[in-house]
This record gives sequence, C-alpha cells and structure tokens, in this order.
Amino acid sequence: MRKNILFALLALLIASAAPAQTLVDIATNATDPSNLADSEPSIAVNPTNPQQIAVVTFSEGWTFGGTRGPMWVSNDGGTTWSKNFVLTAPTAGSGGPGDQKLAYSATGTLYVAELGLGVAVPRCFIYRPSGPNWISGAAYGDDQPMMESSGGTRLSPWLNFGVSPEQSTSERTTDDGVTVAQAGIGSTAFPNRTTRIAVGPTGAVYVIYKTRQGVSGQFETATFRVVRSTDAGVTWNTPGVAVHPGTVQTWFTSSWGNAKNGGKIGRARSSDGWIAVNPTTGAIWVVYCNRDASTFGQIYAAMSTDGGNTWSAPVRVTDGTHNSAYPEVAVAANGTVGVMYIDYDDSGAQTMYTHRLARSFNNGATWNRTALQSLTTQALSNGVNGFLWGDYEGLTAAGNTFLGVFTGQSIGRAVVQFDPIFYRVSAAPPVAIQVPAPPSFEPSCLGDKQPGTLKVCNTGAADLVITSITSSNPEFTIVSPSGGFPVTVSHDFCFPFTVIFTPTGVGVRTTTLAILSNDPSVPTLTVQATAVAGAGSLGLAPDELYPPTVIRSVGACQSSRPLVVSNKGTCNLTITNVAIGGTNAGDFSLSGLPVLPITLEPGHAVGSGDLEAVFSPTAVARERIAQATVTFVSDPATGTTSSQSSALCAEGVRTGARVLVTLGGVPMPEVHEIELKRLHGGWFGFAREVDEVKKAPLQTVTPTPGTACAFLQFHREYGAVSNSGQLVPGVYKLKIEAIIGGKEVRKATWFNVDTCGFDGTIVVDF
Amino acid sequence: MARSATALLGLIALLVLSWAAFDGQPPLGAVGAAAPSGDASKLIDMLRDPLLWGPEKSAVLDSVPAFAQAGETQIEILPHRVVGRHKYKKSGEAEQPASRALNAMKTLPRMRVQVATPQEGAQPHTLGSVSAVAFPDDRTFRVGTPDREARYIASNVRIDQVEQRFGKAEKVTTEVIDDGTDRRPIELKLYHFAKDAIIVVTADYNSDPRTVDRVLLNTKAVTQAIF
Repeated sequence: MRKNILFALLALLIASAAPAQTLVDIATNATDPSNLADSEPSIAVNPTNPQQIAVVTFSEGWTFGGTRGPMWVSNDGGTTWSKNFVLTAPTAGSGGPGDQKLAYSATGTLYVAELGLGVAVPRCFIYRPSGPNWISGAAYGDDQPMMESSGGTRLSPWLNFGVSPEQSTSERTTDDGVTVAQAGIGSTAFPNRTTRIAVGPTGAVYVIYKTRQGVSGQFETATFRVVRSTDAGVTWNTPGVAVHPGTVQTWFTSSWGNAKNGGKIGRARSSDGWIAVNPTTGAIWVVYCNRDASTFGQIYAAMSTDGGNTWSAPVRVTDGTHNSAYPEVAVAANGTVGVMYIDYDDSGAQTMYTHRLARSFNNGATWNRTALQSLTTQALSNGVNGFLWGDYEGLTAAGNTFLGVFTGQSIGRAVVQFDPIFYRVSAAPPVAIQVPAPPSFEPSCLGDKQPGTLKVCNTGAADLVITSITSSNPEFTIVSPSGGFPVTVSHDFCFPFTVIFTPTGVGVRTTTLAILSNDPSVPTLTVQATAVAGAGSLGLAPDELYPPTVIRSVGACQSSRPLVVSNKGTCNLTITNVAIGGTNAGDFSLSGLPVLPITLEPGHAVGSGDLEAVFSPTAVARERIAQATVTFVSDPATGTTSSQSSALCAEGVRTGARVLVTLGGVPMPEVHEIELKRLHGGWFGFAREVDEVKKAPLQTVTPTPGTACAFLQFHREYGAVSNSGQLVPGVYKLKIEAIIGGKEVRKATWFNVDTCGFDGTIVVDF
Repeated sequence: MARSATALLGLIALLVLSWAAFDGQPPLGAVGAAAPSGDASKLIDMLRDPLLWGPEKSAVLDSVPAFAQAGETQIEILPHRVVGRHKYKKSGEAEQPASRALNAMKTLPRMRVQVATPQEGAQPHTLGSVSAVAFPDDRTFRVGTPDREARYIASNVRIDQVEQRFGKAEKVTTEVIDDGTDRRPIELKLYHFAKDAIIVVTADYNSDPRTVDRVLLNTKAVTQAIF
C-alpha cells in the first residue's frame, strides 16, 4: 500500500515536471544497442516535405570501404525515426565523423558537412547524395564545418587553425563539393571562433563569428560580428559589423558546469553564438553569450533589418539567474524567434542541467522560456566528460513550428543515458488574440438596432480568455454571450461576439472596442468600429410659381401646382402635417392630402404624387403669396419634429391677356401702336376695336425679394393690374405697329379668351 | 621458513600456469632465460596471442627497443600506424628523437622470447620510416610512422573477446583527447593488463565502440619481457 502511494506521488511529481512539449527519444534499444552518447546533434527539415527530418549525432563511426556512418531520419514529422547508415567514409584514415552539420537545399536535397576524425588537415568534406547513400567531395578546411545552401551553391564556413591568428573561413562549391574554393572572411586582427551560417530568403548569406580578445578565467573578451555575402559566397564584407556595442564577456572554458559529486561537465569554447534569418522578412537574428551584471553568463539577442549593416540594441533572452550557454536561434515564418540554450543550477548536491527553449512573439521585447528537459549527469550511463552534448545542438523552423534536437536524458530506454531528444514546439504564441476585421453593420436608421459580428480569434497555442469587451460609444453595445464573461476561445478558433449598433445620430458613427484578455503581449486589444446611421429626409420644392389665374368672382377659376412632399433619405420619414400659411393663405388650398400623419418610405411622396396646392385668387393683384409648410419627424429616436416650407406665388387677374413685343427676341423699348379688336361671330366674324394704345412703353415688374414671384415684362396687358379691364370671352385680333429702322411695320395675331382664360404669354416678334 | 616455502610454491604455480598458457610448450627462445614474472607472463601471452594482432605484428614488436631508445616509455599501436606516446608541440621537437629511433631500427636486438607465429614471423620485421609525424588525434607531433597499408592490430576484435581470453582488465580508465580545436574530442577507454604493460583501448567513435581501436605497450616492460 505504501509502495503504491509512493508510486502515485512519484508519478504526480513526474507529471508536474513534464514539459508541455512532446519529447521523442530518437534512439531506441534496437537502434542504439551500444548506448552511445549521441552528442552534438544537428537537424534539418526538408522544405519541400516538412514531414521529412534528418538528424546527425555522434553515433557510430564509419570505416573506409566498410560500414557507413549513421543518419537519423524521420518521415512522419519526428514521431518515429530510423537510423540509416548512409555516410560513406571519406578516406582510409578516418574512423568517424568529427564535426557535422546538415542542411537541405531549397529544392529538398540534403547536404552534410563532415569532419573526418583521424584525418590530418584538410579534414572536412561536403557530402552529397549518391544513390541511397551520401559520398564526400574534396577535402577542405579544418574545424567545425557548417553547411547551408544559397541557390545552387553550397557554403560551408569553418575555422582555420592553420593561420595565425585563426580565421573564420568559408568554403563554396557549385558542384556539390566535388571542387571547392575558400575565402577568409573573419577579422585578422584577433583570433576568430564560433563560425555559424544562415541564408536569407533572397539568398543573401550571413556568417556570425567572434573575435577573441583575451581570456580571463572561464570567460573571454570578444566581439561578435556578422559578415555578409550577396553573391553566394564569392565576396564578403569582411570583417563585417559588430552586433553589439563594445565587447562582451563570453564563455571560453573546457569545464562548463559543475562536476561535483561525480558529475560531468561540458566545454564551451565555441558554444556561444548562432545566427538565423526570418524566412518571411529577411530580418537577421543573432544570439550570443555575455556575462552581464547578473554575474552569470547570459544569452543575448540582436536583430538587423538592413542586411546586417546595423543592429538593434541587444536584449537578454535568459533571466539572469543561472549560467547559460549553447544558444541556437531559429525564426519561424510568422516571425516568432526561438532560442534553445542550456543552463545549470549547481546549488544542490548534483548539478542540474536544463535545456530550455525561449520564444519571443514580439521581436525580442519579451521572452517566453520553457524547460525542455532537466538532467543530472550522475544518473546517466554515458556522456563524454567535457563534451556532454557537444559544442552545439540543433534548432530550426519549418513554417510556424520550431523543431529541435538536443543531447538529453533518454526516454524509455533500458539504460538511462544521453540520447538525441527531438521536439517540436509551435511558434504560435501561447495566447494570441487576433481580430481579423472590425464588425460591419448594414446602414441603419435612427432608432434601429443593427447587429454586427465581432470575431475574436485565438492564433495562439493555449486558451485565450476574454475577460470583457467595452465600447467607448454607447451607440455600440456588446451582447454578453449566453455564458457571460469570461469567454474562453480554444486555439485556432474564433468567437463571434454580437455588437448592436443603435444610432442616436445620423452620419458616420465610430467607437473603440476594448477587448481585455490573457494575451500577455496585447492585454487590451482595441478595435475601431464604424457604422453609418441614416434618416428620412424631406424633399420639398422651395418655390412654386403659378400662372396668372382668374379671380373667383369671374368664375370657378383656379390653378394647381403639384406639391411634392417626398422622402429623399435612406430611412422612413413621418410627415405629421402639411398646411398653407402666409399673407394670402386664403387664396390657396391643398388637394389630394391624405390623412396625416403618414410614414413615407425612402423615395416615396405624400399622396403618391397627387398632392397639389391650389390657387384660387380673390383679388386682382400682381403678387399673391403664401407658404406650404410641411412638418415631419426629424429625430425618430425622440420624436422631435421639424418644419420646412415651400413659397407660393401667384397672380390674380381677370380674363384677359398680356402682350410683349420683341425685336429679334429682345423686348422693344416702345411699341408704336397696339390695337386689339374682338371678332364678333367667331374667327371669321367682323372685328370691333376693343383697345388701342400708341407708343406703348416696355413695362417691367420686379418681384418682391424673398418671394417665389417672377420677373415680368410686357407692353400691354388686359385684365391685370396695369389695365384691369377684363376681356370678355371671345376671339381677339391683335395688331402691332412698330417703327423699325425708321419704317412702320405691322404684324397681327389672334387669340381666344375663355371663361377663366388669361393668356399671359403673347409675344409678337419682329 | 614457512614464508619461503609459500614463495617457492607460488613460483612453481606461476611457472606451471605460464607453461599451460603456452599450450604446454616452453616459451620460444626462453631456453636459458629467467622465468618471467606473472605480469610479464601475461604480457607475453597477450603479445603472442594472434587475437589482438594483425599480420605486421612482428614489425611493431621488433621496433619497441628503438622507440625506447628514442625516449618513448609507451607506444601506441593503431591499425595502420605506430607512434610514441610522447607529445611534441612542434615537428622540430620530435625530429631528433625520431632520428634516434630510426638509427636504433638499424641495430635492433633479437627477441629473447619469441612471440610471433611462423606466419607472423614471415612478415617484414621493420616499420619502415620512423619520423616526426603529425598525429591527428590531438594535433601533436609524435615519433612514429605515417598511416600505411600495414595492419598492426587485428580487425574487429572486441574488448569482450580480449577479456574472455585474458581475464578482466585490472582496471579501466578513460582518456578524452581534445585537440584544442572544436573538433569532437575522442573518448578512449583504456583496459589495463599486466600492470599497465599492455593497455587495450577502445574508442567511442567506432562503429562498434567495444572494438579494439589501439593497443598501448610499455616499452620498458616489453623490452624486459621479450628482449
């Protein structure tokens, strides 16, 4: 019973200590029967098939003409691994790989740089595929060959111990290593070390290295610099640009860690720098070691967005509490930066070494650190003291995933030992809030409640918890979800919040929606939302001018003008009243007026267009004026009404006519004689003179300002203000005599006057 | 008296064991020689047994006195080369002792105890040129031979077979060779026999890390035992 409880407690302890990432022991009892240490792992992911991953570690060796060296391969994204003996020994004297790094080309061909153990310099080789195996090219170089491809060129920087001071050197080949050419690329002012390479999305090549400027204890004064080549390694901007101000104190020790109580240590002489390029933007990231005010060796990062010409202020990746080293950096497609490193804690009886992965989702402003695995070397059966995991390990990115390999504690092996441990970690932030678009609203009307959808998404890996959403404008309100707040959104999901737009004013309405969540990078996300609120709009002609209209006393005479009361807006319009007012309101009346109030839809008119204002004058007068006033609801939310008027102007006359004489269309100043005769017996009856005037001047009537009345000109009128004698109904002959060019000329015209007739548009033109 | 008797019995037992180890035949060339000590006997056994050695074994063993004259207390026998264990930082430093060794090769003493089989004895008895050579394991210079076609130690023999034949190693130590660059260090496991007179070594980089990678011989012990 006690044993069971202990087991349960142990299981609980293990479970609580387990990292969030899934770790896969690449080696198995079957594939690693000799329980090798599998140190200094390197990893590469096929860009054309991200499920295919290759890893090399210090596992078995090779023999010339015999056994080939191993390469670990996974074809299922790292879930399972096979150990393929495919690396052909380069020369007779070599017993196995000494240093190695692999990399896929952009087209998916895997290349490996290998140092042949037991071989005198030159001792490095670029391996290319040959059938199912890989074979070496020409020998070159000395120490720590790296590997990358820039287009069809393979590049392998290495450190040249054969010159003084030691110099970072780059090898390039355009025939996959069959022939190679080298160039010294590091500063010659100090010895170089830690030569690492990265290639950007446009093929630009970057190499980081350090200049060693004096060892003191376990640290040395150094400057990390980056050199660039934009022609696939033909030329370089040697010695490059320092990635930090001044110098740093970086590791240079053969005893990194604490070997107390039978423990083991690593070495950290070139375990202090790495470089990677953002595959999307081309921004360059470097990481390096620096002992800072914390007194611990720490990991720092810096970024360049101009091809390495200038560098951002370095930021510390680690937390300043433990000695840290062995940094590798990778950048995911979404810009997330991943840094793998090791720290150790020697405060206990046994030194605890921990592999960690730090991720920054905000260009280095903050770092999210995760322990991948912790171990004490006493518990492990193998591991070369002084070289536990090698000088470097493997970290890369494929899309938005980090894939790494480190030499850590075996998992599920019969013998607990150092093994290559693979992991993949999302580059998506743990919690990442995203609003793809602000909510959209259909055009609304005052008083409406128009819904819109606010989609809040979680592009992170963990749950997004939305605490609240508030709106700066009360016209926009967020409908609390059925379960209320907080709302939890799983990764890769969106939650559709409903936002109600209730306009209280017309026009473009805006609000700021503040979304509070557990996203550490954006604890309050603000979203600007806009909506358009419309209203009914009264359409009313400003003026109505009537033709001269015969007064009521003569007959049932009247004139009508359509009174168009319409809705020119985008929302309904309520008309509450239409009325005639003004000085001569009694002369006017409305016809076709429906029962009010009435609601007009957009584009509609009161009375469907039949509404008219009728003028039926009671007096002969030049100007009879009134206003048709329309009252409507201008603010549906409050019911507030407004009024708008249309001016009416009309002329009261008796039966008659008005004559204007023009010369070439221009009113003549004076007409020699105007004679009017009535034809008795119809159009062909005899004529009897009704009126005759000589030297009739041009008369002009100017309207009263502010009225709808019109400008008027004539030479003679009958039944109107200037000559109120009416013409009895009948047919009339009008004879005009004018003096034009000193000669008298005549013209005649006929017109008819009926009971309510007044012809105000008789124009005689010469 | 009792102590003397015990010592005498022990000596007799040792002689019997040594005799038995040589298949009941007296050691070749041992006529008239003093009986070897237990360690020497073990050493002789291991030198004689073909398990450990390649066809060119005789060339190596014949040259041991020459290396000793060059100041080497231990020689390192790899599959295709032989080097002294003394490390020189510069080539020039190794040239003089190499020259001494080369001269000594011209007047090598005859073995007092024959350890080569007739077939092994038929192979060339010289290492050829001994000079100051660069030794890739640690980037030092050694007195020794460059890599050549010869095969000095047996192929694919495992330390398990060695211990099965000669008993468990008296001790096992580890040596990590770091050449000062950032090349992977080499981890050697040293299996000590005959009070360090012969050390059988495995290396971690081999396809089978329990394969014998090299053999170390104490030049003084070997010289005393077989010359």
